[in-house]
Amino acid sequence: MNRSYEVLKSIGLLAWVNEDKLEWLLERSLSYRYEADELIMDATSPTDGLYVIVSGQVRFTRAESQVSHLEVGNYFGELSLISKELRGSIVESISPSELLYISRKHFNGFAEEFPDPYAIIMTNLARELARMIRQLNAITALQQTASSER
Amino acid sequence: MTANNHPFEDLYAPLRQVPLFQGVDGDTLLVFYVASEELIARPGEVIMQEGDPGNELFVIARGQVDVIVSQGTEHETTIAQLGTNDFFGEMCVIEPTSRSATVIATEITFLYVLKTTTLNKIYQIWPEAQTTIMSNLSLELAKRVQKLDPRYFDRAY
Repeated sequence: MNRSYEVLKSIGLLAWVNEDKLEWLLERSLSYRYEADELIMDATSPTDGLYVIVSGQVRFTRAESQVSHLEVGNYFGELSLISKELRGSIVESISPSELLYISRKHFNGFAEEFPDPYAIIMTNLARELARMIRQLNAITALQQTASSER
Repeated sequence: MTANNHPFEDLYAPLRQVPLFQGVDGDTLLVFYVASEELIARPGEVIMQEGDPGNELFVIARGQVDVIVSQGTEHETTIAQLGTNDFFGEMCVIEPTSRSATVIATEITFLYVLKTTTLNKIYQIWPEAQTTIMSNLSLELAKRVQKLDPRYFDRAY
């Protein structure tokens, strides 16, 4: 099995999706390679699909300050599968990187062809967000406790 | 009512107003309506208790509630006030989890209650309904993440 498939299989968004369905997505994906410090997307380009980091690291900057960075096995653009908003940040590679891109159009095709697995993907998306909220709430609570003990 | 309207639209019309159910077709909404139970909470009544196992989703048909964390302790905080067409208890439709807050009616409140076991049965027949509800829920949750971490949209879109 190739590396792209292994990474795709490992991401929470695609958990419990059968291998043949993952292969369906992989067959329709595009692979992009970047050198270090290369522009991947400017702030005005809509993402319009899911990007999965197969190798390397990418950073997101807004108003010249880094807001986030992602590495192998992380993904971005997941909200572009369900709504159209502008990201507003610039995406660049930190080190030589390979990204796998699956367009929203292909996800829509997937939803039509395989409604059950697509429902799983949408449930995964909600679950990942719910976990993020729990983690962020826990951090906030810790910070509040720390400041009240000070 | 026009000829195009669903024959039972009057019945499930309140659910149509709920953001969680946006885009769900009339037949499926009717099933949700039939499968739901109605609950009336009096002012001061606890509808959901923090720490309890969660297995029901609540939709406010009319009324108002307070969402409170750490109720009865020195850290007690009202984190939200919800009203007509809002929903709560939604985390349990994603995965089994205990309630993260207490919800108390602040006026007479009419609710629809949907059990997760019922929702799962409906999803087995209409996976499209699960897709729509989960993507609506994801949008709602994404907004909450963004509030807690304003950098989130910068990488999620």
